[in-house]
Amino acid sequence: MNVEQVNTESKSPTSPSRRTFLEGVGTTAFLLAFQLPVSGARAGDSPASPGQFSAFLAIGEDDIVTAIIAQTEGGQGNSTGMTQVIASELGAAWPRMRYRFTTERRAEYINPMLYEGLVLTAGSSSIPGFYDAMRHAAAATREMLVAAAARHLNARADEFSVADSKVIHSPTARHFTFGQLAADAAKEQVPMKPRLRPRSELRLIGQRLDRLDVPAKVNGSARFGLDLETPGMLYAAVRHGPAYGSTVAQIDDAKARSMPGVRLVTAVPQGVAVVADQYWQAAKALAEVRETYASHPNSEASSATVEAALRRGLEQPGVPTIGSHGDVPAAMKSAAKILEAEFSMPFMSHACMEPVSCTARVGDPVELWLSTKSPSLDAGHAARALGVDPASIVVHNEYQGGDFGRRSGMEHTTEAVLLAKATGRAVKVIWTRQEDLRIDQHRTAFLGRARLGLGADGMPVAYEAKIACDGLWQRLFPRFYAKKKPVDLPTFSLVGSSYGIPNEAGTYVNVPLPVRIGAFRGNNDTHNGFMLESMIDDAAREAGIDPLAYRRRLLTKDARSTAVLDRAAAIAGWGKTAAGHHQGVAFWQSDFYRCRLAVIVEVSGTADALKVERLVGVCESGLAINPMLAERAVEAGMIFGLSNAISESITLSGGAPEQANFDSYQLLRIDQAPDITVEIISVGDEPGSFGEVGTMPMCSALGNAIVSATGKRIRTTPFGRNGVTFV
Amino acid sequence: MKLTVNGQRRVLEEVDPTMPLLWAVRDLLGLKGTKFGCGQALCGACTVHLDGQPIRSCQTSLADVGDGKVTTIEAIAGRVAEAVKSAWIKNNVPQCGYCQSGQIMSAVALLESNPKPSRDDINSAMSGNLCRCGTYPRIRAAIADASNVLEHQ
Repeated sequence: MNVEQVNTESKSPTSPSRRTFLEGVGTTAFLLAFQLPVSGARAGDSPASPGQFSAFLAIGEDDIVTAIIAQTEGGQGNSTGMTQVIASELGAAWPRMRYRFTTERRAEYINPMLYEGLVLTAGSSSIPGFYDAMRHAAAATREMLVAAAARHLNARADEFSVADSKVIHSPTARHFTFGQLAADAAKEQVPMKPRLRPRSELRLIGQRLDRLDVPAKVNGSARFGLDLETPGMLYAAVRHGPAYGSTVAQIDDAKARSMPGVRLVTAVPQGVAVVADQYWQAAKALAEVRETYASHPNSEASSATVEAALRRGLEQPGVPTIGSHGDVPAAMKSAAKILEAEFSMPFMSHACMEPVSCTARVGDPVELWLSTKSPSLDAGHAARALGVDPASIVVHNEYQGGDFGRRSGMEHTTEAVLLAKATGRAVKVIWTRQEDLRIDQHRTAFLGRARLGLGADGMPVAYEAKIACDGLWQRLFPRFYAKKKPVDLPTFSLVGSSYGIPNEAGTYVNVPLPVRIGAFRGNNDTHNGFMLESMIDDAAREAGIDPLAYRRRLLTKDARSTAVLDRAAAIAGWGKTAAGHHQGVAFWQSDFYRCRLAVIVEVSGTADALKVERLVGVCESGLAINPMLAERAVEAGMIFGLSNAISESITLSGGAPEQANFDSYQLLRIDQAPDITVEIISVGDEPGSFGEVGTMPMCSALGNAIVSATGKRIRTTPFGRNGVTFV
Repeated sequence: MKLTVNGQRRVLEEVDPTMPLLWAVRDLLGLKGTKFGCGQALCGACTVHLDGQPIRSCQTSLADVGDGKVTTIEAIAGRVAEAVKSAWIKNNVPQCGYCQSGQIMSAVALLESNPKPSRDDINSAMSGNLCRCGTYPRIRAAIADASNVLEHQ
């Protein structure tokens, strides 16, 4: 089900625009480790194709318009949505649209919402980040087509209209197809300031068009990084040391080296690799390799030492976070009641269904084949390992078998190029699921403490939140962090929520943790939101006010927020559940994602046998380019978040993750997946984000439903390992 | 060794009979639609049919396949398979798509043996196929759709 609603109130007066937010963060004037000299970058897959009008599209004489997509497709449908934007502004007929991926690193492909200098897909920002650029490119092409048509008919440009892949001369009704005009249009001058179509003319925007990648994903022809091949390539199996950063001390490879097909047994930076003619030969031989690892400080790490480090961190002064305001100590003194609680979440793994792999050939040029969210980052990793110019490295990428923040990495890229160099052949490195879980770029574990002061009316007067965790920027983008320090991702959305609590103080303590840390769907919004939304829920219960009504009261000044809450309540039948069923609600608003989202979880049973019966989500995130895609992205994000909340946890022993496969790192399966209803409310003219937002409030909403069902507030996830048995 | 895949008899020279069918299909025969996910029959991404039955090709050696007839996503055909694939397209089921070959192979096998599966039947038959993107509700809907189409054909 889906409801579209065009609301004229496109901006909440209380919310800074995305641009303001970014200026606050500061995205200019820094260099990243792998920033590319854009002007010198080479095409990743092919030179500019015939008929290419700009970085974003090409028109063939066969009348086919190809959207050129430099953002990677991790499953959220951005390649369809981006194609839809281009088709709409251009005036192309949808059946005549195609798309192709490019890994070219050029200035036009650098997302203005993200880190300067990188071609990168992240932050659910493909469409909001490139909406304007794609529209300008398509509008310029449209004007060039019109100019070519006008020249043919010796007519004025303003006498033409463009629709359904035709340029129509209105006075005479004569028309040309795009294909007929493409060659001539390409010779026209590129207009610097093309006219953008008004919303009413953007006919494909807002339509529920089918995903373009579905047929290839149904007949088995879609190619993922692990499927890409190059002639004559060898295969490598690798095993890494137990602790992150381990290095090999000794290798006994006597048996492995004599096994069929084996070409090379060698140490790689964090482990050992066997290269063979076939992957199975490499894997079988690797099982016969015996290696020891040098002692590493991380070898002593365990879940207990991580918890102790976070606890020590929480006692440190830390740094104030964005959004702190007012006088919290004074407000706490005058509070009628103070709620105080501690929260924590473990490390988690992305567990993409496609395990990590990379194929490399070290020739002229150096080539990489892999699933990546950033050809810039992975070319940088390879370049550093080889000591070559990153701009010279060609990256090949098609579909990614999941991303969720994972799809880039130093280890596999480095291994592939080093093994390719050592053998003089192309080598495909394939990680087993165990290696994929062992050296993930884990979501940081966190420990937090929150205090919520309530007035005599039970409403919040002060909120104090302090978290200890590792920082994504510091770990993944150290040079960027050096400019932003001490600001890091966890400092966002800790306090300063749209609830408008009059006094707030947030504190962040960075605790370096002994595993690799990276981006993870929902990031800081998930853990910071878990604290806030649990505390607000407790406050409502404390005040004897319905938790949804309590939130509504806090959000009363923002009609867009109350609209999503009200709609979610109506769909879920809030407060009108069947006997034995219980509900929990959570709300999340983010300026960066431009989203407002209300989620209601319905459960039945007891703590010994709890069943998640139904999920309802209502999301407003600005203009929805394709409400079907948006709905599915939110739905998938919610189920991902439900999986995180119920069962996901990476624990450490001897520095190593104790979870080696899906028997111990348990993902939600279909028999635990409830029915789900998501509605998208489309508002205004600026598209927002959908890919991650569904994940953010899920731990909170499920936790709140558990309180409704059992009376028990659980502040540590996953709930399935902290007091609840799910059925 | 000889292997019958998608109706063709293939000869594999000097191949290790302990090699899992998965790697033979992918790397020796170039059929990349069958996916590697876990290597331990825990995720279902590598599901193919052996004599019409769904099996995990990562845990089935070439020796175990013997003279059996293997069918992969590239060649799955027939009334049920067409209904399943159409339903997958109509419902826009895939997100990243990596697990979907295995999902479809399991769904076809389910409907071949049980043309009118209940919700519990679907959950039970499909619970060995993980989807990290969370397309489960869409998979259930697509299987129900395919079942309806087959009933009214």
